[in-house]
Amino acid sequence: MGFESFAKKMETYFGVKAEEYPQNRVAKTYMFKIQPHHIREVAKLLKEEGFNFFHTLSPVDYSPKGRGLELNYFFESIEERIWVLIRTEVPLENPEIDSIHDIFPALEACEREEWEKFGINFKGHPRLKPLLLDDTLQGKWVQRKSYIPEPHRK
Amino acid sequence: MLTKFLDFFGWARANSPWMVHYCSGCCSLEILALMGPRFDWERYGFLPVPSPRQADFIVITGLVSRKVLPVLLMTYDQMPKPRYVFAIGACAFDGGPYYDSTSVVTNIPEILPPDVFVAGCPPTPEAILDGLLEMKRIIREKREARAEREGTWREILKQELKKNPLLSQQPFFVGG
Amino acid sequence: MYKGAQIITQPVGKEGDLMVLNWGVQHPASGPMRIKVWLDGEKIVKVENDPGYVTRNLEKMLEYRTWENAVVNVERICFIDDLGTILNWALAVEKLADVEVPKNVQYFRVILAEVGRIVSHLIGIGGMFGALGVATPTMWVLALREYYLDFLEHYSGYRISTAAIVPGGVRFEPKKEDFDLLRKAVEETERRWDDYKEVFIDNPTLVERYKGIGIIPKELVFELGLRGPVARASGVDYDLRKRYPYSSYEDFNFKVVVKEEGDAYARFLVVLEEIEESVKIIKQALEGMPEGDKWKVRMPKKIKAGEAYSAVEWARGGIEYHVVSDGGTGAYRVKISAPSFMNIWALEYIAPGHKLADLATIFASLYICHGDLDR
Repeated sequence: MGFESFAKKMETYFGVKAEEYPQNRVAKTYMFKIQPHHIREVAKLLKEEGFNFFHTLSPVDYSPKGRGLELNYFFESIEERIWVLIRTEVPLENPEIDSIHDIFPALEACEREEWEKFGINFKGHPRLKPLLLDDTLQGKWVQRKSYIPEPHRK
Repeated sequence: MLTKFLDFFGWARANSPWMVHYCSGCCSLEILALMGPRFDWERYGFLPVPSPRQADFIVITGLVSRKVLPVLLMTYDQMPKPRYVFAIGACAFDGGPYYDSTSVVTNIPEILPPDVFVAGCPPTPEAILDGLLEMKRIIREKREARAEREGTWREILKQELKKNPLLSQQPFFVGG
Repeated sequence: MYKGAQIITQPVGKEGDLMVLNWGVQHPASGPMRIKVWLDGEKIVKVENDPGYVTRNLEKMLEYRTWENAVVNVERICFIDDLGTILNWALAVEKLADVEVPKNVQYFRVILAEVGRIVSHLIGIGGMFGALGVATPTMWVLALREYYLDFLEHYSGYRISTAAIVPGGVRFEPKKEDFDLLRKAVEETERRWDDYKEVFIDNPTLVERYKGIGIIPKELVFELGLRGPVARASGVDYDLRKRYPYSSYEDFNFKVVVKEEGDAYARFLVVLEEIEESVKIIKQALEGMPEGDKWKVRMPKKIKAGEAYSAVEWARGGIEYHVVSDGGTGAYRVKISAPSFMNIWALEYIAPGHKLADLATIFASLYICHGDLDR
């Protein structure tokens, strides 16, 4: 239980070392860069070790920079006041990752929103259906860098 | 004598204009302030009413997103004639600060042309009240509402109904 | 320009033995949002949220704005308390650019953020009474709110879209008259507050309709990541102002309002008592305002590549931005994580089992703003 054992387990199970993430203004944060297919095991481990408060799922499209879609999951341990950033990257051509909505129910809506805006296919999600956008924008993946809003098109 | 009597209806209507209790965007906060004690629009007879069936005018409060537009048109369609449109906020004119948004309709005056438009982002309650008094004048003179003559809202509403035939079969729906 | 829209499916119909009902979009208590309700007689069996009726896709728009220009869009996440959202934006951009603002600016930002919180909480209380159709308390809170809006109008020129906080400081130097107006508002609050509490807390209509309704257990708060007054009413002592102090909040003496019951009435009490705490903070900040005549630090036009994460305790809970810069004049990507978007999903868990008439009160007590729900 706690960050120490979580970091140790991350290193032994997945070979990932904790990195400092000083860019978080709020609290002490450690970053773990994992492989996308490990996300479910990592999420289970997070919940076991007391990182039970989910904050944000933030995908960033780095395709103009020659990289894929980066996914950032922010979690917090309420007792220890330590944040953990789980970072992974999926290719933009086929963005697929396992859904962890059953481990953290807070992610159900967030995953649904990011599916709608980025086109990330969260495997195993029960209701990947339109949430915020109207049906003219469905399937256009508006948050990707390749989508340019009408007034800005040349 | 008869015309005098008919004038009475315009006078009566103008002294108790009821608004559909419906907001499409954030300028509704200043409408809320208008309902409050400082600006107190009830001294002019204005009142929000939950059902569009009893309303005299509808307020387009700022932004109209694509998803809310059919709802707005349907609410307007359910109102009895004479019915008027009152628009506030820059978004209701050309999108305002959301001019490049992916999901905000930027040509509301072409779809549902308002009779009175109050500029601002958001307009102050004083400005809205001034516009509402102008609205009262229009109602008293029994001027024809702009949306009855022009605007593409009927075609758009028909498109929506074609997409969803269930709606037009509803007993409460009268059709524009 | 208009190309069609989302269809409102299934207006009124039947599904098996259950009645399917649309609560909203045009409903006086719902705001621009639809809630699909499955009813067995008058009992709610299942609830499904359908938000998105004020979507503007701000995250995409912010990629086309400069760092300072973005204030206009960021504050429109929700007009009710616009100051907290801009404060978070300013803090995030300052973190990116490694800029520290002077102490007097930090204190004045605290004042502005707390005024925003009071204004928002007053409307929240008005909404909770409005869902019952009780008009008098709604009018009372609106009357009190105007005093704070007077201060904002005198300071920034606008009542609700103030744009008062910018990255690097505050927009204008506050004058003596601004503080006088704020003192007047605080005095007015204290003069009226006892009367307000007498009418609000033991209001028989409110107690009857809110007590024991919509109970959110503590576990659900962690499971759904609920924030703000909703989480605090369920016994979770989580307030970013106290937990991770920012903008000199550590200098002020205030308590975090926590209730254990977790029902709609507890949420109402949390919102009500937080106003008192905010008034306390404003008074302390007015007294202890540090000397200083620098109200804005020069910010670079272009900010070096990198990222920043920032969160502040907004009126509805923690609002959090993940800002990525690629060295340009504006953000490369902004993720806005809003409290209402997290809190609204509690409705699907707690509403079943109640009567249809209770849906309005539960919804009002969740203290949702559609602006930050849809963004």
